[in-house]
Amino acid sequence: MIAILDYGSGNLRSAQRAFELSGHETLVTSDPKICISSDGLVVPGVGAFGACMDQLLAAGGDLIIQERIAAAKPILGICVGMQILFDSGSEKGGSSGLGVFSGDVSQIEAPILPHIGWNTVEADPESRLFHGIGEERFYFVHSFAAKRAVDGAHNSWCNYGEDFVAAVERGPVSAVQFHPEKSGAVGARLIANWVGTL
Amino acid sequence: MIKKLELLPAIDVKDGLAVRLVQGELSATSQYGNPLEVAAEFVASGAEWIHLVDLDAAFGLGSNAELLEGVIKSVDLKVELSGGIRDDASLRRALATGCTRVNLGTAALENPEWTAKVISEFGDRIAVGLDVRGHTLAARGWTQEGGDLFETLERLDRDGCSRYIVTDVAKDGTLKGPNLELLREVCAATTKPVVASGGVSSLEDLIAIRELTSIGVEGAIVGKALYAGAFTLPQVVKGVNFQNLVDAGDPVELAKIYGDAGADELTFLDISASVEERSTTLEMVARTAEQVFIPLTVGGGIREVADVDRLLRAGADKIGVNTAAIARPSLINEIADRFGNQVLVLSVDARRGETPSGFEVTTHGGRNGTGTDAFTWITEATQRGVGEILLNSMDADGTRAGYDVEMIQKVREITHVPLIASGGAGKLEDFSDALAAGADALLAASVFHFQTFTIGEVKDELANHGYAVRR
Repeated sequence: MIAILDYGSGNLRSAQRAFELSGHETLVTSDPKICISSDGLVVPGVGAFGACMDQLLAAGGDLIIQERIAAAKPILGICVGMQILFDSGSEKGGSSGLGVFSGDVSQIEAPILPHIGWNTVEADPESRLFHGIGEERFYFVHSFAAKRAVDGAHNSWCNYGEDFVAAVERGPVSAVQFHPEKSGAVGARLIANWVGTL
Repeated sequence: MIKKLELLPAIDVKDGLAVRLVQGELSATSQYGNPLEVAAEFVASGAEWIHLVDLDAAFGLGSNAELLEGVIKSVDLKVELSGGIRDDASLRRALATGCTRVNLGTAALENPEWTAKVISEFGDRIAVGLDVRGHTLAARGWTQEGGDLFETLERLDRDGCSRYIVTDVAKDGTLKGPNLELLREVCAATTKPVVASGGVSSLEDLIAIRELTSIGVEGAIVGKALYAGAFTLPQVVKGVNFQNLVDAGDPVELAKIYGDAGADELTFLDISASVEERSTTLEMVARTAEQVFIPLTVGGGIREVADVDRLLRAGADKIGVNTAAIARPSLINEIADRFGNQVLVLSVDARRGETPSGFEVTTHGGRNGTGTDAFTWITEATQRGVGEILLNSMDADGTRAGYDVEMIQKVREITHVPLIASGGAGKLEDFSDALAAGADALLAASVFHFQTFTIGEVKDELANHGYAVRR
């Protein structure tokens, strides 16, 4: 079973449906027991880094994520759900993240922001998420991103104004800056790849 | 631009009962029951408006005032009240019922000075009913003649009348179809919104009237066809306002078709926010988001953060704000602080006007100028926290003569958020021209609805001009 962590950060219904299509039972929930014991946990995220962190902490999401990492149980962070896994985010004055990955999430240097639209990803050849996916476009909506490669991880890159980390995979933790649940057929393939690791 | 058509289901009351007349003849009525029950049924069916008529008062045979007040107090929707409003006393009584607006008939023809006075006093709470036979107005419950239509229209326009209810007396209650030609003539003669009345017999009639929203028709009164079961109000609410020549059946089906055809995003605009329609909208968004895995923007009727939360939870990815943000700009900050800038699309309906930039913000689909400078508004809204601008050119809209390249270029210079161009697409070249002018994304509706060309053909065109497109 896949749990989608509900901590008050919108856009959960379509995510749920997208993961259901992979053939797994999928539940949108904030129940810690279910979130910890599920085969896979999806951490979505819409909104500002700090607001998301506040809501995540209020829902006990930090403990859920720590327990799962300790037990090597798979997690997939999406968009701000990826960003909060880093040490810190500089959006709206700066906030602390969970520190699963070291590094800061900072504003992209590009003439037009947010970065909204379909962009290509240069996947790490060893990536499990991008297995069998070629030069395809994924849907991005964000202004902030991690710019430095995460140590000991498979880093996949996107360029918009500058290079940033589009996806990172290390041990049980995977995270994507784009929205696979909104990236049509290619997004469904990426979700299926992640579900295949559960 | 074809817009949402307001629907005003009618309740005509005589001797305390809901009835229908045929061609205004009091002798030819059929009874349909208790007005309170009929009103409750309309509410349950998703009506936003009721057109409520006191026939006894209209014919000078008495009054159902207390009953009508009871109906108005019993329902949570907008009511247009009509019948027998001819002097200060009857007008004040009518307005005191809590109705949204009243409809003057005979008095507006027979007493121009009084009509001008009450229009200036009560503004858009006063609409004038123009009951027309040929080009001549009918008065006194249609039994007397009341002057030339266009002369009267000119006089009422001069006096500031805000809205006209146009009825073709020869068509009303006949189920023989609306007089579209008359509606076109009235729309050509006035800039004020027009509500169509009379003759609606089928969904097709309402679709035909809806086409006239581009020239100034705002709504349609539906009476007998509803009572007679020719169609149901839910069918109308769901069907007509999303209906188009593709006739995909419902917006979710249409969304799937466009998703499969390679659309990069979908946008539902002009979605009403009445309590009744809110659940319809949420259900539509949810069903779409469950089946179409590309970004979905929903706009219309967003007034508070809670509206945004509901839509996002249903599966919307981005939210469009327009009129409510003009009325209360801090709404932008509230939404952006809670959900981030990227969730918020500012929809700007702009046209050329006498403001510093030469472009003015309009509301109501371009009919009403706000006097606000479009560029000033875009700059302010961007500072407050919108993540994207949906720039609708009201000058180009509906012309199919191309996007408003001049406006796109100028707005591109003053904003650093993504710019979605809208309005005017008619040829394949129009799309690449708009990107060349600085648009980041392109919105089109009618060229796809009417199958002028496919999304694939547009992408081919853009690729030929060197733009990267998703396949």
